[in-house]
Amino acid sequence: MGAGVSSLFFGIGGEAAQEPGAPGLGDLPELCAAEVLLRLDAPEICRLARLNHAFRGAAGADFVWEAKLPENYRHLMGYVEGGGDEGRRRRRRAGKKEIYARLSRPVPFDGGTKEFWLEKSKGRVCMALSSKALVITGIDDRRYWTHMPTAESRFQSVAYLQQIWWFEVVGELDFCFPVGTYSLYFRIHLGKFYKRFGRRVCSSEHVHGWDKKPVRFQLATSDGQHALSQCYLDEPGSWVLYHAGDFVVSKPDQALKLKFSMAQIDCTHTKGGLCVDSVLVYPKGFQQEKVITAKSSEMRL
Amino acid sequence: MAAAPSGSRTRMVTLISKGGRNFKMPEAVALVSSRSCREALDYIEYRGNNTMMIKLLDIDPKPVSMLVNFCNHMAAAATSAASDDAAQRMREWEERFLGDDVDQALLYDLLSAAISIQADGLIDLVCKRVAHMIKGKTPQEIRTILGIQDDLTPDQRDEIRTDNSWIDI
Repeated sequence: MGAGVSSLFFGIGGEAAQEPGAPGLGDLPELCAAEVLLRLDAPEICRLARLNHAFRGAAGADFVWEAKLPENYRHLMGYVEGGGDEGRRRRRRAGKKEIYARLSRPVPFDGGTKEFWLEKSKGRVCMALSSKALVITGIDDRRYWTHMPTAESRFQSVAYLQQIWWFEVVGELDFCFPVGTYSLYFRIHLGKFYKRFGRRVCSSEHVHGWDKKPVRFQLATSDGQHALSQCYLDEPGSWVLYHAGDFVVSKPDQALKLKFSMAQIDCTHTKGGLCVDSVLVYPKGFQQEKVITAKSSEMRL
Repeated sequence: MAAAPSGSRTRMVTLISKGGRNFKMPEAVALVSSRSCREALDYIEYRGNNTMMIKLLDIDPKPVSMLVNFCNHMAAAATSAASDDAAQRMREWEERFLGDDVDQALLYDLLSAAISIQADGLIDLVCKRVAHMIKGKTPQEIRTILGIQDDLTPDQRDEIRTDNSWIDI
C-alpha cells in the first residue's frame, strides 16, 4: 500500500498543511481518507471516524467540513448568540466540524419567533417561523383566536381559530439563504387535539366552512418570483404542510425578502376549528410530514 | 503554456516509480491533468528542453503507469467536442479503467499516486469508487474491504462516540 509520498517538486496541501490539526505531508493515508470523506455526507463521515486512526483524523479535518458547510456559514454563525466577547472569541476559533454541529441545532432569531438549522445529511438550510411571527387578522380577539400551548409545536404554542369571517395569515422574512431552491409551507391542523389518559384525542368541534371555498396561498420574493395557488383544507386530525410555493436563490450572499400568506376572506360564510402552527421553509424535495400541494397553481420564477 | 519550439521534440514530464521505472507524458497533458505540474511549470521560467522529473519512489510501477494512462486519456477527451455520446463513452472508459481486476490495494496505490501530483480527475474517480464501496457498510465490513487495521484504543473509541453524538438524529 502506498505508505508515503516521496520527494515532490513543491509542497502540496497549501493551506491545509498550515492549519493546526490538519493532515501533514507525511500523512498520506489520512489525506487519502479525507479525499474519500469529501465525497460522503456528514452522517457517513462521523460514522467512519471509528474506522482507524487515519480516518479519525480525516473525519475531523477542517477542509472536509468546510466543503459540507453552506457557502455563507460565517454569515449564519452571526445569528448564533451567547457568551458575549468570550463566546465570540470561542466561535472564531471553532473548527469547521464544530460549526456544522452548532448550525445543525436550531438557531433562534427575531426574538425567538423564528429559527433556522442545517438538515444534518446535506447541510442545507431549513427554517421555521412561529405563529407569533405571523400577522394573523383578529389574533387579539379572543372570540376568534387563542394561543394554545402544545408540545406538538416546535415553538410550544399554536394559534387556534374558533371561528371568523376573514381568515388571513400573513408573514414576512428577510434572510440570506444559500444558493438553491426552497419550498415554503404552512403547517396546519384541522380540529382541536389534546391528551386524554395519555392518548392523543382529536375533536372536530368548531371545524366548519373549509369545504365552502378554497384557501388561497401566495408567495412573493423581492426579486420578482411569485407563486399563487388555492386548495381546500382537508385531513382533519393530523398536521399537514400546505405548499404555498417555491423560490429560487441563484446568487450567493443574496439577502432575499419573502412575503407569503394564506387567506380565505369570503365573508358570506364563517370558518373555524383550525390550528396554525408555523410556516416552514425546506430545501425543495426535503419534507418529513404530510404535504398537500394545490392542484391549480401558477408559479413564476 | 509555452509551445514547443518548432523542430524540437515535445517537452515531456516523467514520473519515476519504485524500482526506477520511468513513465512519460507530454507536458501539455501534465498541465491539463495535474495541479502540481501546473504550479511547478508556472514557477520555472526557463529550462530549455529538459524533462521535468517527478519521483514517486514509494509507489509501484503499475499504478504510476495507470496514472499516466489516465492523464493521457483525459487530455485527449478534453480536446474533443463535448456531447452526450462523448460523456457516455468517457463513463464506459472509466468503468473499464477501474474494472474488476483493480483490487482495493491497487485502488489505494492509484489514489496515492493521483494525490501526489494532484491529478484531480483521477482522485475524483477513485474516491467516488471507494465511497461507493463503503457506503452503508459497518466499520468492520469497511475495514475488511479496504484492508484497514483497527488501531484505535477503547478510550479513543469512546471519545469519538461522544464527539459525534450530535449527528445522531
